[in-house]
Parts: sequence; C-alpha cells; structure tokens
Amino acid sequence: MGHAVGCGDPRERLEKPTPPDMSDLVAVYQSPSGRFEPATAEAMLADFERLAAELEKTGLDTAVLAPLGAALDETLSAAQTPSETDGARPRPDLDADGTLSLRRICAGWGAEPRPDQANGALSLRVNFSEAGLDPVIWGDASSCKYLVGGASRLLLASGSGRVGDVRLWIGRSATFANFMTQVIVMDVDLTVEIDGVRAALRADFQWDPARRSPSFAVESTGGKVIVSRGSTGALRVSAKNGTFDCELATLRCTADTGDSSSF
Amino acid sequence: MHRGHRRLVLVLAAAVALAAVSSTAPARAYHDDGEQLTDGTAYTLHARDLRLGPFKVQYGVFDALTVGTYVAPWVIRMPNLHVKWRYLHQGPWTAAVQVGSYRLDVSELKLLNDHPGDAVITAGTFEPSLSVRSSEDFTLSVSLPYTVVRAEGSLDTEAFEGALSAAVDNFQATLALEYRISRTTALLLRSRYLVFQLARADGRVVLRPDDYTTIDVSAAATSSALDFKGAWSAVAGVAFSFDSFNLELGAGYGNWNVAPFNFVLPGKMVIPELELYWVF
Repeated sequence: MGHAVGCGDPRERLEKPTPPDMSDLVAVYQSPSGRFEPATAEAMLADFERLAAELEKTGLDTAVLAPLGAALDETLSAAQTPSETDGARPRPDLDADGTLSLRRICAGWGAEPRPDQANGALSLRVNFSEAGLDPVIWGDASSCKYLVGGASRLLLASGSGRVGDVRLWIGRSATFANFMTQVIVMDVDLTVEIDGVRAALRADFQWDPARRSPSFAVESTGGKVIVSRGSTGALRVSAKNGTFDCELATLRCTADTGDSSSF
Repeated sequence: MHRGHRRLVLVLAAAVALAAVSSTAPARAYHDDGEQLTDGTAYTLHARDLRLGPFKVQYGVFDALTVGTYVAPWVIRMPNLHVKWRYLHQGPWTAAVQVGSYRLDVSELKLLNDHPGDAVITAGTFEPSLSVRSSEDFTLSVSLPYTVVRAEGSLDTEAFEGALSAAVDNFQATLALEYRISRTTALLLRSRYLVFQLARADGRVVLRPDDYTTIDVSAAATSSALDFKGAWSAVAGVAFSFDSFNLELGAGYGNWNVAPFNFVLPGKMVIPELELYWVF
C-alpha cells in the first residue's frame, strides 16, 4: 500500500503533493486589467496573431494537450460517482482525498503513432477530494516527440527548475464529470524543437475545450486584455472597459455597448 | 487451512481436552458468592474452569486470566482468540480488560478462484470493563468496547492492478445490571450506546486505459455514513444457572449489535438474546 491510513486516527487524511500557485495568472484572465484603446488596437491584435501562430506551430494545444486531456477525461468520467452524474451535491458524510498521476507516451515521429518509450512522455499530476478535482493540474515534459502537419516537434523540460513545466487551472468547481468542459488556463515553460531548431516556449493562454481555440493575455493600456478568436473569425477583446469585437478586414471594433471605432 | 491456523486450532483443542481431563475444580455455576456472570462484566472464569457452549468456548488459565474463542467464526475458517485479564479484584470493585483478534483470508474460502486477487479481513477488539457488586444481589458493570475491522485486498488484471483496504472503527459504551432473585435465577438489563462507527478506505490503483497512458491513483476516504447517531439498544433478560448449565434468555429493542465484531446495524428492531453454556 502506497498510502495506507494508520489505524490510530480514523480521520487521518492522505497527504497530497503541493500544486504550484497559479493565482496571479488566473487573476489576469479572470479580471483583465488593461483598457482597450483604438490607438493601440492594431499592435494588440498583432500580438495575438503572433502568439496564436506560435502556439499553432508547436501543436502544443491540439497535438499534445488535447489527447492528454482526453485520456484523463475518459478515466475521470469512468470514475465519477452517481451523485455527480445526478448533479447532486457531494455527500456531507464523506471526506475523501486523492492524487492521480498520469503519464502518456508521445506519438513519436513515425508515420504511424507508436506507444514507444523512446518517444518520450508527458506527465500530469491531479489532486482531488470528495468535492471534485483540485483547481491546479501540473506536469512535465520528458523529450516528447510528435508530429504537427508531418513536421517533427520535440518538447523538453525548460530546465528552470520550477514545479510543473505545464500548469493548468481548471477552476474551483471542476468535478470528475465536467472535466474538459470548462475553460482552462494554461501556463507552459518548455523548450520546444521545431524542425531541428530549439527555442524557449514560455506562454500562457486560456483554452476553451468547446471551441478548441486559445485566448491570450496581451499588453494594452494599463495592463493586459484578453484576446480570442470568435467563431466568425472576428477577434474578441475582453478589457477593463468592456468587450470589443474587432474585424481585421475593416479595421473596426464594436463595443458591447454598440459603439464602434476604427483603428 | 493455513499452517498457522491449523496450529492454533490444535493448541486450542489440546487446551480444551487437557482442561476437561485434568480439571479438579468442582462444577460450579450457581449464583453463589464468588460466582459471577462473565459476559459484559469485568469478571473472569476461575482457574481451570472450562466454559463450553455453541457460541463461545473459554478457559480459566488463572483466576485472573481467561482465554477463549467464538465458535461461529470458525465455521467460515476465521481463527479468533480473546484474552481477558482481571487486573483488579478488591472489595466490591473488579476491573478487567479484554482483547481479541480475528483473521479471515477470503482466498481460503475459494470464493475468489476466478479472480486474480486476494482479500484478508482482520479485526481487533479492546474492551476495558469495570464491575461493582454493591450488594450480594446487585451488580453493575460498565464496559467500553473499541473494535477495528479491516479488509485488505489486491487485484492484478490486464487492465489495472491495485491494492485496496477498508476499515470500520467502532466505539461503544455498555451498561449491564444484574439482580439475583435466587440461587439459580438472576434478572439482567443490558444496554448499549454507540459512541461512533466510522468507515474508511484507502487504496492505490494503476490503470492502463490505452497503450500510451498509465494512470496511478492513490486515495483515502473516511465516511460517517455508518455512524448512526443515537444508536442504542436495551435488552432485558434472565440468567438461569444450575449445577454446570447456564442459560440466558432476553428480549429488547434498539440497534442490533453484531457480535463479536460490535458492528451496529441501522434501524431499530426487536432484539432476541440467547446464550447457553456449561461450566466444568
């Protein structure tokens, strides 16, 4: 038994590993501090396009984290309790604690994915209690090889020594049942090799599993705003002074109040 | 049967046979001075007394030390032994402590033949008790039984492997009144109150949902779902003691306590009580 509970104290709880602190980053995405100004809109939106392109190039979201999340989601769904599926509140007479570590072998560079240890792996750690999943999931990359559009990618630990090269904030209300249905904030500190060229990959973004698209926090007047791509292709800016939908083709932004401006 | 269990059976059987053959103590069971009921009290058997019955077998090693075993668990190959030590016997006051141990290897029951796993159930009891005989006819006894029942098992399949354990901790307070109305008959009132009954489980499971993924889960849980608040029982009865034969009959109401593991059942019901044994 790895975590046997002693006989002396019937209420003794399992000791869970301490997750990294993501509160500052989460605050950035939950309450944008920057203001949207038409004068800086063009630079701001360009920043978003650059970040989105970099992320797409790494394939981190679609080729790595999405299958990893799907594997975890499948396991958690199988483990959900009847009360969760009924939408009932957790049982007040139950105190539970647990920790889960997931290791997924990467797909490799071959024409067909193979579960070969030589392909490297990604690992994640998830804590949970009777109330559901703890808000932070974290993990590391270990020479993870995969393909994006037929081109090779290699994810390596950054060497910064921080706890969790990959960090995910899944919110305070995540349960075994609704995991991967709510917006996730990700923070990565990795080294990525693209077509043989290595570079640091330090990025944070918000991932919407339903839309399968990222949002980025980009610098604006007075702080950061959150920029995402809407279903119509327009960019949506969430700022301290409101929400704005911007069309790059027309160089116009429309506020949620109905006011529009050019940039 | 496990070699250790077989040895224990042989030792007990030998002890019983030896006691039966060599006992020179007179047959005694009447409600006389120096003779006390030993169930639910701090009293022990006299040295070399042998108690035989369908529910329990006990032997008085010394006046202050009784060893015994419950019969029913042996039916399911569950070796069990209890020892009661009377450490105080002064004037009207008598104090004792009883400890018991039980072990059941479920795999020996051949129930898991088709399953790649095993399970072992163990139980331990610790029961201090105090009796005061305030007059020739009246005895009051209090005991505080604490019981831990633990089950441990492991599984190893192609899909996953793991080890799990579960336990129920139970703490009770009991009160027993005995009033002797004749040499052969005594009235009994026994009550029981559940202080707590907590269930807990912990385990570790390694899952392999696909060829790429390995998931290692460790978890521990405690539940008060079995902690039936306000659980109690009261049983009134009568104890008949003859030359060597003893019979206790009773009926009561409340939450049933499953002896010898002291597991309290939910819901209140009518509780019948029967105990019969011979003391040689």
